[in-house]
Amino acid sequence: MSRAWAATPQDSRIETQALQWQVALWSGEVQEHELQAFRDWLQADPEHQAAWERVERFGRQMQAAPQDVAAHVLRAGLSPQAVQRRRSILRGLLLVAGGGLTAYGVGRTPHWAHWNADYRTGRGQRAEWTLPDGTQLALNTDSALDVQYDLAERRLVLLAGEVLVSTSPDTQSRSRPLVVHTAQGTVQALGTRFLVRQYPDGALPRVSVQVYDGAVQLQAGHSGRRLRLDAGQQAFFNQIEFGGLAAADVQALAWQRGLLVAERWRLADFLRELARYRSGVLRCDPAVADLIVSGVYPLRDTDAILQSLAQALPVRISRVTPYWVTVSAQP
Amino acid sequence: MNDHSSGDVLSASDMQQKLHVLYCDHRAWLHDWLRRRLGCSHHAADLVQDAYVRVIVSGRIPMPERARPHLMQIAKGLVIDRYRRQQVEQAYLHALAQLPEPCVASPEEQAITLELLLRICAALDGLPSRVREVFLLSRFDGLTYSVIAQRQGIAVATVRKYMLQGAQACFAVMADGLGDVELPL
Repeated sequence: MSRAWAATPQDSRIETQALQWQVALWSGEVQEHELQAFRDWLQADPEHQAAWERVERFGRQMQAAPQDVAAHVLRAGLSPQAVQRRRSILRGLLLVAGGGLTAYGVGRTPHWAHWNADYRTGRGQRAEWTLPDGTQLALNTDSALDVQYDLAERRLVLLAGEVLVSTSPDTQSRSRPLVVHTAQGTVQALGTRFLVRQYPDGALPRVSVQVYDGAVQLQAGHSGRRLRLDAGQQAFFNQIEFGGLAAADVQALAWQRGLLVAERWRLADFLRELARYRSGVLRCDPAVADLIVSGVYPLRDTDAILQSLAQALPVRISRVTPYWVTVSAQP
Repeated sequence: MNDHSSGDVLSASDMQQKLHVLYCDHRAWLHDWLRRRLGCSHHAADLVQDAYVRVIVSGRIPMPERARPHLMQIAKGLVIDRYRRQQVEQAYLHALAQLPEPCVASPEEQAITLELLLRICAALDGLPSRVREVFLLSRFDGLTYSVIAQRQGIAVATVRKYMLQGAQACFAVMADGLGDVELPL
């Protein structure tokens, strides 16, 4: 912290006076005689003037953050719980729940069934439906789902992509379980709102589940292994095992409002996620793969997102064709 | 942290020599200490580097018998800074994500605002909670001093006193480095 001007006690005294005036002017109820006294103080000494300029600049900086956002963020960052957690990590408690930096491979092999599915969305689309029994479905980009209700089960078959399910009690006299079937296993609703996302064949074929209300029961493949997930939890599974048990990520639902929320993601992961919402190929040069991206991005225009990346990071966006985009290091 | 330092004014080569010893003797231990607390070897390695950078910037090399407490003190501060950054960043993204889409700022604006909020948060962190709350009510909720006084059940003079404490803390961190960056609204 270099405050060159606060070098002498005299300077520091004037600085405190200037800050006192700033505090007076912030009151929201300044009296005329106070204003006059302030003007007199300013006129009295060029040093006062100089100190005031620094304090005034500081005052402008304090106002620069949007007020409602700043109030929310600072209260969260300074809440007793947040402060307490910061102190407690040094006593050996776990640092972060969740972590949030999941790396995954998103392949690009459309399932043939995709095109015949009961419900589907194209790249960059999202849609919502209410089924006759009151169950609400929201499909994210590039997703496909079949609905197969019979006497024994309300079966939703997630063929590709990502679905948010909000269940309602079965209207049939005999209540049937609602089960989401995926390539890796099943997710049974226990009165609930939950998100199921299928990561297709690739580096890591798996299904991730976030539970926001109620609970679900996961079953991995045909292994018969089960795991109960309660509200506020997330986990993933494949045909063999469960993993990644952590606090549910509310940002995973941002797509519902047309937003992509990145919290310290690697650029490579960010682009892989962005690619879901675009047609064509989006390549990431390994040289820039580890740059960190944070931010909230409107999904409406993914070209604009790429453009803004080029402004925020030392990267260059090159287009071989509109459908072949490469993100690489700036020359 | 000065009480942990030797306090000697060192010549450049002397300093380099002592730094070398400090690095060789304690780097592995510090890494291990951090790794056990963070549960991640990479983060620990980053923070070890940061800790030594702080030592270099401070220009003071601790006496050998004070080396570990001194490094541990620095490392604790770094861990807290890092965790605060995560908390504030997360809260900021949550807040942004609640905004209607057209109000979402550009990534550069987001980065500048986040830096500003981090500094304010770090500055206010060391103050008593009642001082912090008064400062937030005035600066970010836009309440007048008499309304704050009424709400908090304190005198207006006390509100002013708290506001000065908050302003001094924020001024100290803001004056340094953020410079003349004018933030877009």
